[in-house]
Amino acid sequence: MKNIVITIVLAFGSMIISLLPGRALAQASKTDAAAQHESPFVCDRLALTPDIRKRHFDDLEPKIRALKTGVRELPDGYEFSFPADQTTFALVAEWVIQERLCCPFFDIDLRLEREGGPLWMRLTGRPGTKDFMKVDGKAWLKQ
Amino acid sequence: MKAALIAASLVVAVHFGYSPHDGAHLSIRGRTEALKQIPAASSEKKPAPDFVLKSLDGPMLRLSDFRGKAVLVNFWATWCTPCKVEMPWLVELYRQYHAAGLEILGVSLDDAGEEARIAEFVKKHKVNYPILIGNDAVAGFYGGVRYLPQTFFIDRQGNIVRSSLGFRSKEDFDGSIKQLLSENH
Repeated sequence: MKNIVITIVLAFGSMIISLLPGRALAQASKTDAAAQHESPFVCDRLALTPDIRKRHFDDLEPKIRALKTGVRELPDGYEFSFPADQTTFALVAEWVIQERLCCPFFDIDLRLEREGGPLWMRLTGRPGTKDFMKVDGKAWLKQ
Repeated sequence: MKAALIAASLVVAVHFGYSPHDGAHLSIRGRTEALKQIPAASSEKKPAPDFVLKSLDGPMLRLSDFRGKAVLVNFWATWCTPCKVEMPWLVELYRQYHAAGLEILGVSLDDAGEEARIAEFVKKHKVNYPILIGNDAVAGFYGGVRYLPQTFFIDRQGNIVRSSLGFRSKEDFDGSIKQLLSENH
């Protein structure tokens, strides 16, 4: 319980920091810097241990695909909606953190829509990224 | 514990960006430091390290047994999306150029014990060239192959004449294969 209180306090602290005026500019700079170091379209086979890779692809991915409630096509990728409950958020967040390690060419956004709306996971990237998504797409992209 | 994990996830979410108008928002756009160290593709000519690996069909295959042919050694894995994009092109190019002396060896770097998954994948994608069960030792001969896909173009004398890191277009493959087949023929 004590841990939860601490993390919530940290969360609000971080939120306040994120509202500071310089932060948006700093984030934009980071994005520019990332663009200058664009890697080839590769997967990092050492990013996940075999156990975590198994969980990522065999357990988490089918689970969150089954939880998906909708798909939106974007010019540079896709956006998937999920129920905004805590369990789903935790599963999606875990998948996202692992996915960006092994498949680093994605830009990933998680958004909790206002007024009790859904959780959105947006996967986008530079030209070509969307084509990769179509390859694995049938299960992911079907409405 | 579960509640703590969820709360921690929220910490990450709001730390990365929060707008009172758009709702909580997590954005991941950075590249890892390791990615900045990805080596560029190489066109330096050097002898291809020999290896013997078990093929998915059973027999052991030795790279040097293909001396006299133009060989593509393609490192891949079933979970690697860019690899999956390339594979149908390699199938087509193998069909097109095999008679002219092209050999493709697909070296899977899936985790140990994943042969059934590899076999299922190969059947599903109708892969027509030999698939070998790779390992870290062989990957080590080729620079570790941390990133997939990676392809090494080996001439008829057994020299690596080109290597490519990451996804490349079918046209790139086609051009490199034609060049490889025409060299020292």
